[in-house]
Amino acid sequence: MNNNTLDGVKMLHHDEMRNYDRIQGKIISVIMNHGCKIIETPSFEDYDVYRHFFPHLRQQMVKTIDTDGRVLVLRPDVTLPVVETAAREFPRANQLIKFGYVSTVFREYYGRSTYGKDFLQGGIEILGDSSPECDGEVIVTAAEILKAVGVENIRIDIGTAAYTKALFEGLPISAEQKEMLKRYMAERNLVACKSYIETLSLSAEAREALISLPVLFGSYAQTLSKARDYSINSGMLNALSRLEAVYDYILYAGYADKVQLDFGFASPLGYYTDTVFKVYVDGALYDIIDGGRYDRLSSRFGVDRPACGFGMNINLLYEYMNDAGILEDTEPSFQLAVSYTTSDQPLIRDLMNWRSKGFRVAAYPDSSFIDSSDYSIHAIYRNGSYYKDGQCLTAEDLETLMGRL
Amino acid sequence: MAIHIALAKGRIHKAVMKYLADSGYEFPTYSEESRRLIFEDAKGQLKVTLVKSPDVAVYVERGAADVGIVGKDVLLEEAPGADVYEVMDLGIGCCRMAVAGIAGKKVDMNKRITIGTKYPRIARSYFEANHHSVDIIKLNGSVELAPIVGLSDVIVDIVETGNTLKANGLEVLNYFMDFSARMICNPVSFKMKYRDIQLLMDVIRQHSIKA
Repeated sequence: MNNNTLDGVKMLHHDEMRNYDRIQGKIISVIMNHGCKIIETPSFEDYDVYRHFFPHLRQQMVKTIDTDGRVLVLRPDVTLPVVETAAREFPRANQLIKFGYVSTVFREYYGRSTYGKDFLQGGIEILGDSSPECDGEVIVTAAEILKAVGVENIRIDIGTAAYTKALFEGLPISAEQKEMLKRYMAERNLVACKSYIETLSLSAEAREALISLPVLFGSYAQTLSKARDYSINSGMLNALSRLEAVYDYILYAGYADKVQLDFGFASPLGYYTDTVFKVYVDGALYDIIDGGRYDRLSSRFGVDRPACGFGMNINLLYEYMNDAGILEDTEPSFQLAVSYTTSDQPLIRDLMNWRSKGFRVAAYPDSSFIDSSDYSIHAIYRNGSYYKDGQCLTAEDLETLMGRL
Repeated sequence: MAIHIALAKGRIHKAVMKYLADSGYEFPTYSEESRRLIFEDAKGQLKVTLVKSPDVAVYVERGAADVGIVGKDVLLEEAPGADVYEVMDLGIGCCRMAVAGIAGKKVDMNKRITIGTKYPRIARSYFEANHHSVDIIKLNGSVELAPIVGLSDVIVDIVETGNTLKANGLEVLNYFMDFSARMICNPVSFKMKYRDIQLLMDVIRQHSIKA
């Protein structure tokens, strides 16, 4: 059985599990403070449904076959099943539904020096509220989560897919030309994009707006005013007014100093319909949170209901927190480790008594090796007495010592 | 905030290092013969790493470098779909991709043909776009041998002077793509260090236009 180790999979050890647990607990409490119900979507989903709605995930998804020969995928995201289930179980289009989750999603991810075949994702989805305040709340929830886990130095980049869409709709070029242009923009190929724009017959204003779009980012006020200058139709201006309302919410919530605008990252091929945002943490060159408004997805399941949400990669967050030294200190798994030659009734009774009081204790035979980093106190048990550093102690003495840790 | 540049080792890094030196960036520890792979300029504005060309996109995409300079051929072959901005065509390191076969021998393009190449992805997409069925044999060098020893019908390779082809009794059937060096950029660095990156682009643009 050699050479059977897989890349991108690993066991999480005690300290990691404890830290993940703490982080998850804080995330869930912030999510619930915002009135979201905690849910978990199924581990398996239908491959055909995903292939249809999220074709870009087709190759990335982990496929498996059930006993009836049907092709399934391991949960590649949470948004799609949330929207689908909500459409089935809550068909009233104006019903407000707020869901939050922390679940493993089976999709590859890359950090600076990490790679995994799956990761823990946390997020929220708010359905049935089309207001800009809803987008503001979603963004603020994301920021509050990072604050709750102790990550203060963040940057929130906000953009709008509606602005890009309005710009494209107003262009006097063919559908094929638009597709080509959108593809270059989605691929971030600025060289091809610019030379292609120059071949199109467009007004000087439209050309300038298109060329500037991918690099239209920066501080809020300055970028907004530039975006207004580039606007060539009312759709673009409307998108900006809505963006201002979203910003106001964030301003009143106290996060305005973290906000920058970015009109470049609203991929014209994506499924977002309006606000899009990403959250970066200081020094990390990848976004930890990614979200936005997707008003048209639910209608494809028969209920025309607006929606907005985000997902965060908790593995990347963990990696950042580890690098930044803001994870909580590790502690030995045993508060007290007792080694014995012969175990007997009084020892087992003492162990049970300590554990019932909430102490982490264990006994092991002398013949076993135990790593000294695994315990805080070590004692030797011989015929009813405990010895620590040559001193004879009672069970009560040890309990007192543990209480002082 | 220093910018970290990953340069493809070889022709590209030599040209770019010269541009930078001509624009007043001093790299005290750099010389073309040196075996060092990482250099910093005297003012601490730039950090340069020399990496093998297929790795440039990996460094940039993962954020180990902010920007990278590498041939478009390598980007297409080794890193299609990499999440990076392609921000500038340097117009240097130009080369042409060609289909070549045994001189004077006609290749029947209506049957399934076999292609020997170092660039399987580029070769496949070219032939498939032209509605030919192909088998690709990935080779790592001396590609010119393949048709001679009967391994393949034609080869797809970069052709500079054509001398190697001629010496081995091959000829170019057609040139189908031109490549030049591109500057790529990590999407987050592009935003965070926009001004510095623009400055760097201006410096390089000035020189590559002259060249």
